[in-house]
Amino acid sequence: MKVNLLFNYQFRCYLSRLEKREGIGSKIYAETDKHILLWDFDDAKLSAIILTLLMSQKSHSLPTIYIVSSSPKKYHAYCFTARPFREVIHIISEASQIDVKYLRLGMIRGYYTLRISTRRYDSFKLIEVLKSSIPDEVDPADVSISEYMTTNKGGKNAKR
Amino acid sequence: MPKGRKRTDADYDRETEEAAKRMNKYPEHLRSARNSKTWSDFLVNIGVKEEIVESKSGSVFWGKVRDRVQEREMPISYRQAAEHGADIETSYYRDTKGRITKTDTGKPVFIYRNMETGRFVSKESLQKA
Repeated sequence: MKVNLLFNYQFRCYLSRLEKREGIGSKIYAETDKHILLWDFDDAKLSAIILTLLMSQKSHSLPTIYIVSSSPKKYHAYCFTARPFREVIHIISEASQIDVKYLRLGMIRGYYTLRISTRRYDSFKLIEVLKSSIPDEVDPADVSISEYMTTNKGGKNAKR
Repeated sequence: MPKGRKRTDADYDRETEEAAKRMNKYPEHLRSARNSKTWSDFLVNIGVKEEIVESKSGSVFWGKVRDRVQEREMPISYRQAAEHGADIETSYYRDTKGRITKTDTGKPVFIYRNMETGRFVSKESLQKA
């Protein structure tokens, strides 16, 4: 409901249903300035993503990278390394297919988050594993997790 | 700082301390994923857990590395000490030779790093533990 009042004043009132979600945080729990790498790709070709990540893996000596499909044409990628946040920004921003909103929000907050709880029409699927001779630097259980409330039902996906 | 006043060592010390506090501040809503069923189920369901076990990397390998690293002495810099807690910062400082010395006695003290938590602890506290 939006009511325009006199002069420069406006009254707005919203009612929306919130959903509880869980997300994995890039920050390694109980460590100072150590992060795993999390990528979020939107509307990108899988072949282009693989190529970009392979180049990053080689140039930054990264361990195995896991590419997961979160919904059609949307992909997440995980790499269980332990890098300072500045380096994380540097590596993630190298990927031209990265979701810019995700990149910007993470920079401001100081850590990156990816949703791990499934939505009504979506399920996660492991698409590709980019193997590396470098072993993982972090036990996946050592990362941090957060719960949040959101109104986002997945945009176009919710209408299917 | 008032305009025109020259910066002193105390200003630098205060700023270092404030920066260390900011770095140590952990977002309140983030918690450890160790007991999270959603995260462990997620890893199992998509097959990442299986891949990690298959490649024999991850926790097993790094657990062994941590065990070895913890055995040897690791001197730390003033900056590292400042970043890892005020308790170490107040008890230790770096002398002119770049060694960590105890403030009251001046005797060199080696610091051990706990690889699990990322914190630095003294040899004495490890022996007492």
